Amino acid sequence: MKQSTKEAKLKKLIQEEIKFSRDKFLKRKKHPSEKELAKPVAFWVKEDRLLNKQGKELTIILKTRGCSWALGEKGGCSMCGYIKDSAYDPVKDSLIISQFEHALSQFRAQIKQDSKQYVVKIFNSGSFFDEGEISPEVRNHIYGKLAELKNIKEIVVESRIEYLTRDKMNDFKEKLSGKYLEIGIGLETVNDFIRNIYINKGLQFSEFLDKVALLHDLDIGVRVYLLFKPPFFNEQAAIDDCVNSLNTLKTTDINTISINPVNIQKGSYVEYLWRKKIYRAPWFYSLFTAIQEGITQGDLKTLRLISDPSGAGTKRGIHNCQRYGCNYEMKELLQQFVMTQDLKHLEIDNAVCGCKTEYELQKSFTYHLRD
Amino acid sequence: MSYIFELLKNRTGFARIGRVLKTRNKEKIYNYTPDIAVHLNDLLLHNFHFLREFNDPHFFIISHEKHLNSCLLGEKFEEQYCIYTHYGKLERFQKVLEKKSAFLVEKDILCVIPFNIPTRAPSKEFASQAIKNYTQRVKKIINTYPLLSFGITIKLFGFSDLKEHYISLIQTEQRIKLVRIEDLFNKLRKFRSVIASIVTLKNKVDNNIIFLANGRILPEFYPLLIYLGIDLFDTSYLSYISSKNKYLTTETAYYFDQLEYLPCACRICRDYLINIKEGKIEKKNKILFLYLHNLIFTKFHIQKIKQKLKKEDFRNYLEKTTFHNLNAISLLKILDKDYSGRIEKETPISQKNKVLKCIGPSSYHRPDFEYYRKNTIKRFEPEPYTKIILLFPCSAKKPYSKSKSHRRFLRVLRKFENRYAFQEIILTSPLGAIPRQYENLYPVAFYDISVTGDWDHEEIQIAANMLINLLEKYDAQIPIIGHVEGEYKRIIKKAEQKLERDIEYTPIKKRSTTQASLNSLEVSIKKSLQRYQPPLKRPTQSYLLNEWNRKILKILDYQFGKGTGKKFYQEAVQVRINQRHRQIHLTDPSTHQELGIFKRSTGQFKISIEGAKRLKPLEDLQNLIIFNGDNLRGNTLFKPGILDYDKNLQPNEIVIISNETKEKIVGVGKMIVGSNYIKNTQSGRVVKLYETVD
Repeated sequence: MKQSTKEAKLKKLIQEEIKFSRDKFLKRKKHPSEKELAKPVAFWVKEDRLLNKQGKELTIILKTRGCSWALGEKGGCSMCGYIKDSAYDPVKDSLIISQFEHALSQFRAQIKQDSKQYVVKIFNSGSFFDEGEISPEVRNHIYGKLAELKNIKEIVVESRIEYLTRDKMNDFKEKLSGKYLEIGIGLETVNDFIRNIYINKGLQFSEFLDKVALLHDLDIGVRVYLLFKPPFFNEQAAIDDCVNSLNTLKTTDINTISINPVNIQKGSYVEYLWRKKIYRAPWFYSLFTAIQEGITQGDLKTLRLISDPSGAGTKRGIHNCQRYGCNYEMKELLQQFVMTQDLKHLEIDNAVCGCKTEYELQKSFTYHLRD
Repeated sequence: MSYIFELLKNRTGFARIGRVLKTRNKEKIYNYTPDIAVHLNDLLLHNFHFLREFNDPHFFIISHEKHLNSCLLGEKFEEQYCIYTHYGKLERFQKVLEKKSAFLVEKDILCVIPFNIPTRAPSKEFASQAIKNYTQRVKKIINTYPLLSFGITIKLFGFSDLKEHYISLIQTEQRIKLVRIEDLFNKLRKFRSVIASIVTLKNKVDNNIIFLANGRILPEFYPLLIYLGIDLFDTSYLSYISSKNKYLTTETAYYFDQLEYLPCACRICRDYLINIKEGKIEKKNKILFLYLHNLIFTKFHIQKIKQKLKKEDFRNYLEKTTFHNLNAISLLKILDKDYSGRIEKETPISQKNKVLKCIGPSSYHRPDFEYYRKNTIKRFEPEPYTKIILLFPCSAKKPYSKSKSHRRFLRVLRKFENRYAFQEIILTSPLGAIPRQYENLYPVAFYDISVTGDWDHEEIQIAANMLINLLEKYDAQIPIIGHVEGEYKRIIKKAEQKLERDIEYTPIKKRSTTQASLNSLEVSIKKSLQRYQPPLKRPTQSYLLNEWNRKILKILDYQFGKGTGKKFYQEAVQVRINQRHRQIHLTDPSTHQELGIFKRSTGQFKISIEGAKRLKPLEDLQNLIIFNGDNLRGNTLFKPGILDYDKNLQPNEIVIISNETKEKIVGVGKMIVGSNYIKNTQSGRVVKLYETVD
């Protein structure tokens, strides 16, 4: 009992901090026009790893009202600034449909003809199954359109677990039968304390496991997002935490683990720390070490480990030294690992770049100032 | 394993020399502090330069589980003292302990429980919760492994009053042998809270705990932090600045690319860095070489500090080094001003054969000077037969009576039969005013200052205050003659105003030492000699006419408290001067037993047991330690044997050790530590005995 009140106190403190920096940002934010709302935030096609072979991905990022958690009283997650891609006010169904159509229409012909198989990822910087963001009508429309395309083998959406009810999942599974479905859940870490205090996720590991069991029942895959280097962490602690999470998740029925290194997003609490020069986005070396320590080649037979860091190579994203070539090479290595699921790509020696020495030296100074 | 750290010697301030014990196959190995603790990593292990430079015993911090193997620690590092810690999460550290606890016990490795997460705290409440969490887990870990010794990490997140959480933890857990101060020294700008925290820690925790400093500390701060009581320095910040291309020098760190000349001749600079500068070899390994240079430089730097600490006046060296950084200057100033009482208690009251160079205003309030001033004002008593007070200028040569100018003054005074009726007071900077009887004491006979004839305001203020305090002890009617010139007159004028007394100045022609001036001094004395009748016409005993007896009577008061000199001199004392050893022996003329020795090399009177017997009854004696028993064996008194002690004892003070009833004196000795140490610790050496009752 005593422990829980203590945690509640800490949680409140962090929430205040997060809300403070988020409100400051949202005050300046302009409300998007109808014209802007007719187009998605972004969409692209590129190479990607499918369940057990290489293929292509189509990613569509929709603009909706925004994550209910970030807009709510609790302030949202400390590293997340995706609320800036959202409309902040409810978006009409017709506009969301036109966003989706705008993206799909450009690639429909290509997908039909391509020899490679496709995975379609529909993200909305929030929860796909949240009625406040995407209504059942819009979801039905999207299901229908995706079901038509035979070359699409996999579909990935994201959601917070409170919206994953049995009815909605049944509906999802029925309408898109024949395709491999996966729901991305931001678990961030298996440690409840870190998740709920430092990240302010508002999610218990036990609740998560319950939902995983439900999805397993319905034969829907689970993609777990792990956050690499949450705020208040240093490099070694990030490695330790990631290894711990990977070791725990290996024993559950998880299909895909996606490691997301923190990138410093506008309006997030992490950005505030970063501006105060007390937080640095992680090093590639740390990520590679964590993967190597946390997972073996044998595990990768049943499990897919992916990582597609956003903002990689920039000051705000995961990066090594300031040399372009170094970061480019690291990105390539990571990409190769994700595509082939072969750990040997992650073995780097000092020859790759001189900044390995720099990294080793900085690691022992546990403060990690920004460079 | 009962102890790990043993204090060997106290130096000015909290500075101390100690040794850390490591047992290897029942054989004892000692590593001496202060020293640096080097982080062991693959970069170093793969580099033979480094291994060659660090062959002698040193401290190492192991952070990787793979380095905890007997192959590595058994061969290369068997003489070195190793500390294990982890850079990441506490859970991982616990897992390693679980796996390796037997190995850690066998190799005698100290485990420092890390506190890395959270790296920062947004608010004070957050920080305090994080600290509470940490201390709870520390207790659990310590209780799980009864055979290991531990260190803890003190992280304050910039809120210095949170230290109380840690202090209660350290006081309750006996197996905490090391304290790693993580972020206190990051902001030396907040020097007040830094000092407050460190002084509180030093006051409250066992003084046999090793202090390991971490954080943004450059080697230029090492002397200052040693003065604050730090024993070991974490080198992690050095590796960090190396990665930022910085090159360490004695003054500060420079960017390597901005340096035109390399001010170092270490192996790395000679063979590699200079070639990188000249473009002869490629820059790829620059950071590694910078790191090695910085480590080697820091090692030499700490060796230099150790040398100064051992052989020279450390305070003087400290003052010189603070000039590199303004925060360091402020820190020292505040320490001298606001914590003078506390710092004095830790400072030895004498040093052997050392010249105390005063280099400027920073030296005016050094703790041993402050102690002298306070103690003189507190304990100096006028002689009852004083007829005239004479004020003289100081001299460069010490003791004053050996100098040319004072020899001339004394020649005049010797013309008078009743020289005992003169009280000479010497005015000086920065000590203030010195009665002639104290001229052989520490620090009077040891200080030195640059003299130009100009005095600053503070020097005059100090001297005037001191003079006022001394003169106030005398009857208002007593004639005072000032045989001084120039700035000295300003001091006396100040005192004159305050005391509302007339002071006579001898007319000085050219200098105070010319024959004309000396003649006028003689005339003035003759004139004033009959103006005042003291309560006592002449000393009651003839042996008190002896110059050394007169001095030592006052020195006894200075060392042991008011009235001791009188007790000691109730019976006759014979003086024998040993010029060769610069000692003065006092003996009892009837029994020919030695009563004590005044050593000029330390400026201290070492009383013998026979002499101490004259100070009975011991009830009101100040330097007294009550021993548990009637017989002392060996040459050291340890803490467990002490029943009671005086609360104001300082290192190097002469103490008399008596039995429980205070009737029998069982020994005399010199304090190794101060009272605060005796209060806080359970074990350790307290007194170095130089004579015991058989």
